[in-house]
Amino acid sequence: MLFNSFAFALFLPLVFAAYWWVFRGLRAQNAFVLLASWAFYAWWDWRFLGLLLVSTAGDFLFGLRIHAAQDKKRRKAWLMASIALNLGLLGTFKYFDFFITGLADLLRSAGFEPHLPILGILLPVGISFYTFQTLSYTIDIHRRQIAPTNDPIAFAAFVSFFPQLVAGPIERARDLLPQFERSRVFDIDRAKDGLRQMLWGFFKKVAVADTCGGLAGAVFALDPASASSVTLVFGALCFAFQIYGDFSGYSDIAIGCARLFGFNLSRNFAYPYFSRSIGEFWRRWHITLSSWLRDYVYLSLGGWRDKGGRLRNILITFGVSGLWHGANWTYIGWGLLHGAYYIPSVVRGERQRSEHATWRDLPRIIALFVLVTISWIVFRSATIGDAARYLRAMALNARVRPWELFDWISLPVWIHVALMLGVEWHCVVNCMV
Amino acid sequence: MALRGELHGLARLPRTVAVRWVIYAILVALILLHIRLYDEHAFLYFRF
Repeated sequence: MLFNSFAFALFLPLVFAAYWWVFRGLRAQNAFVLLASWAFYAWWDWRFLGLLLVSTAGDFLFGLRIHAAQDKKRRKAWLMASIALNLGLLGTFKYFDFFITGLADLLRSAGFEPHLPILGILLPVGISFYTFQTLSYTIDIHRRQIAPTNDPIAFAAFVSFFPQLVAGPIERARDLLPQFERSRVFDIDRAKDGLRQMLWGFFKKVAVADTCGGLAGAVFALDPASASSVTLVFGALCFAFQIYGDFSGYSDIAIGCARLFGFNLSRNFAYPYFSRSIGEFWRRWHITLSSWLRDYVYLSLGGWRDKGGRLRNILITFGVSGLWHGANWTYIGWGLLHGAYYIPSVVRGERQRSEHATWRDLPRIIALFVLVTISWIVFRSATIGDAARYLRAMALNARVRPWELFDWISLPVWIHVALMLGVEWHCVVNCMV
Repeated sequence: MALRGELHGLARLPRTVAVRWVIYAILVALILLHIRLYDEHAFLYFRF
């Protein structure tokens, strides 16, 4: 079920009313949220509910086993079982064909004629998000950072909570699970703020992302060689605002929706396009994934105390981030490009800037935005070759007529983008965030 | 300083009630102008 659908417009008020006025006890509310979340998920394809159930049941049991195991070896064995289950599901349903195709290409280049099976499975929606969420649960138990829950309903509701199930924020058990284990009271101010955040999210998705998306799609479908650089820059800008409006809009709707039900979800975006350095960008863009990768990939790699080790870990972590986004070399290329952007700040030993941006930071903000938009071209293209052609044409098919960016077709896009950036800039300079 | 959960674009609006409602009205109007309930646009991140 999509947030911007007629079905959800009926689903949300019905679930909200029943949750607060029919199911009043904690266990009843949790059970009802769980059933509502499964219905929300099954709306796409009920068969994928099986994967969600396997992941939920597996990690609930593995969490208990890890905690109960007395010796280190057993704890590690149960953790490995959890990792194998989650990465096995992800590997099979998301990456199997990608790796098989890569292997077949490799064998072909070595002179073999391989006949390897291609599964052609439809990607189960949200699998990358909920597998990372459940993985963090068992890893944190293994690290003795949290204790497992004994309540299977609360745990299943934590994994399947419908506002954030299919596209995040990727929650940690220590933040969200306790919220399923204590009573919730309806708070009108919290609900009003949730509605405001949903409104902002819907605006970003419907008015910004969808209008930008149509134009970005049209430009990326062109043969770059036949398009002017102004058109190609316009397409890249449209995609930059599409992906921000789309994903941060989803996060805003999810967080606002959860607040209607008395839950606080983690912040996922903090005005990333007003960042002044790539490090700051990654502290503001998809925060829950970035912090997940920092805690469970970057820090787990070890050797990060010396500069060489840090550089290696950064490239690996950004490569994993790219691969997480999809089984395509363009995503890996996008991740590695961000890793390359990051390297100079590691070499120079730059420190985090905590104070908020001001007008004087505008040149740095624009320069960083240009770098990020170039990376979006790689991300959006079908292949690395397409991305290279797009970038080359953008540089060489120069017709310096910037006013072509502003015509009657693009005017609504710029008005919506200006409104979004204006409101968010107001927040950046007034909210100390 | 906004509270946790109130860190979003509309968390810090002008204090004047009328101005706030004008902003809400503009946003709702733009959403209604562009939303297509029967021609659904899936979110990009569903494919990841």
